[in-house]
Amino acid sequence: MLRHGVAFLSLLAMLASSEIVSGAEDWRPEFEDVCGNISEAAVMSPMELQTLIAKGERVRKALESEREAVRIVYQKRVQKCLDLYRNIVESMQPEAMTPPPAQ
Amino acid sequence: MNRVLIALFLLVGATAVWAQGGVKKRRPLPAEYGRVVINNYSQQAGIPPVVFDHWSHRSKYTCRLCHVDIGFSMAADATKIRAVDNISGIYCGTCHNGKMMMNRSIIFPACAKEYTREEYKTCVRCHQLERNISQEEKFASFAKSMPPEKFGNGINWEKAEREGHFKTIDYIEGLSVTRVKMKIPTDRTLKAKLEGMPNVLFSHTKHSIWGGCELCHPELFSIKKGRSVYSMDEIFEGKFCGACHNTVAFPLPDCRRCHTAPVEG
Ligand code: HEC
Ligand code: HEC
Ligand code: HEC
Ligand code: HEC
Ligand code: HEC
Ligand code: HEC
Repeated sequence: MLRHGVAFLSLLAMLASSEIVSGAEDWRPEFEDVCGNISEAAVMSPMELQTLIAKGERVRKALESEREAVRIVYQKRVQKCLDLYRNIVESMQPEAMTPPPAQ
Repeated sequence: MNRVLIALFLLVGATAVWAQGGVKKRRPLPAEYGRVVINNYSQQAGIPPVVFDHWSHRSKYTCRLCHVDIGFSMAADATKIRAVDNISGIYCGTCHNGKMMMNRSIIFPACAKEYTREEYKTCVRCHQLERNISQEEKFASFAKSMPPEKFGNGINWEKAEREGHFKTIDYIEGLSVTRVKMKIPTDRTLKAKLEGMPNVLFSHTKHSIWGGCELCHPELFSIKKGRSVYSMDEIFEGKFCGACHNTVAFPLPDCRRCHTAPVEG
């Protein structure tokens, strides 16, 4: 049992020192969720769209503390997904209530 | 303008050069079509500009992979790629990292801070000072086996892919997301809004496979209630369909590849 524990801890230490994990990338699952569902966008309910938009915004925030090479690519990607979801939400509004374009 | 366009439509096939807002542009050679010269920083840093050819890359990868997952802008020089970016493994360095394989050999690496004279030979595969004859020969032998087309690269890319002349990669481990199966909106007929002009058949399905959704929406086409209206003039200016169909996909003089649908009464 103890041996396993030690092996586990050293494995953790190894992982923590590797490049991939050092950035934590906690945002990754939410990013996958936001941008992996893009081709369903046209058949989603406004509720589903709003949930994904909120997730996308969290991803954007989390990316601010990433190293530059990760940040510049993923900021752009998540923004594109957000733009599409917002565009679809807008297309659902009655004409008179169309909000001004995002940003 | 419309009359000129109709006349053009009837004429086309023979036009080698077309007037665009009065400015005559030389039509690029087949090997040069889809070429982008990237030079925001190179010459300033004392190294030749970078020459990127679409033909050699689009036969291996989807547009989506590069323009969505890797994050290249769809306008020359707009990405503002730096040598350090490539070194840290993004942009060209996503693949040109000296590790990734293609057809069982390593893809040559992109920029480096330090290099030997021998290694500089790799630099100039991208940072090209003069005409790259071997690249032109590669193009010629590639194009020879492809279904021909009058314009652009002289290759019917859509047919080539459909007939299995090449297969494109759409996924890079650790970079691409696993996407839900596409629920693609239906293909549409875009009305040419001019008597006598054949309508345009637009395949949402094919375009979504090449480009994903976020390549077009909302940057090029805003999804709105009812249809957005755009004109051939705007398309010639590089907007809407013209964003791709003047530089990389088959070019605009090929009127009949778009204006195919029968005229409605
Ligand atoms: C291997 C990556 C890659 C692939 C695959 C790729 N592109 Fe590109 N594309 C680029 C790069 C790099 C640029 C230049 C960006 C810059 O200079 O900032 C570019 C530029 C463009 C431009 C602007 C050209 C100009 O002259 O302004 C268009 C349009 C374009 N691509 C469309 C496409 C289409 C359509 C496809 C699929 C058939 C495609 N690309 C496939 C990497 C790629
Ligand atoms: C998605 C992967 C990918 C990306 C991104 C990519 N390339 Fe390539 N590129 C390839 C592959 C694969 C080859 C063919 C491999 C070989 O010949 O070693 C290639 C070949 C080339 C060649 C042909 C070299 C020769 O002499 O035959 C040039 C030039 C080139 N790439 C430039 C670029 C530039 C510039 C960028 C960034 C703006 C870029 N590539 C981005 C995958 C990529
Ligand atoms: C796969 C293609 C590729 C190869 C190979 C390549 N580079 Fe680059 N390099 C680029 C691109 C793209 C840029 C951005 C060009 C621009 O905007 O001017 C760039 C930019 C540069 C710059 C401009 C300064 C800066 O901060 O961005 C330098 C210097 C440079 N590269 C050096 C090198 C050296 C040295 C080598 C060989 C060891 C090399 N590159 C090989 C693609 C490549
Ligand atoms: C090559 C560009 C392109 C791609 C890629 C693309 N679309 Fe479209 N889309 C269009 C055009 C053009 C229209 C018609 C726009 C108009 O009405 O002016 C359109 C219309 C739409 C509409 C409005 C309703 C309809 O059916 O006309 C929706 C929703 C839509 N697209 C969703 C998507 C989704 C989801 C994807 C990805 C699976 C996608 N599009 C991929 C160009 C594209
Ligand atoms: C990449 C596809 C494509 C190509 C190639 C193309 N067109 Fe069009 N064309 C369109 C679309 C899309 C519309 C308008 C759709 C809409 O808004 O209903 C259009 C509209 C038109 C119209 C209607 C009036 C106007 O100005 O909008 C004319 C005339 C026309 N095109 C002529 C031509 C001629 C001539 C050529 C060849 C030189 C050509 N087109 C090549 C896509 C294309
Ligand atoms: C994001 C880039 C992009 C945009 C925007 C785009 N196309 Fe395309 N299109 C392509 C590519 C790539 C091909 C494959 C053939 C080629 O490269 O020549 C293609 C092929 C086609 C074909 C031939 C295949 C088929 O469906 O039979 C037609 C027709 C066409 N496009 C029409 C249009 C029209 C009309 C628009 C605007 C409403 C448009 N395209 C906008 C990239 C684009």
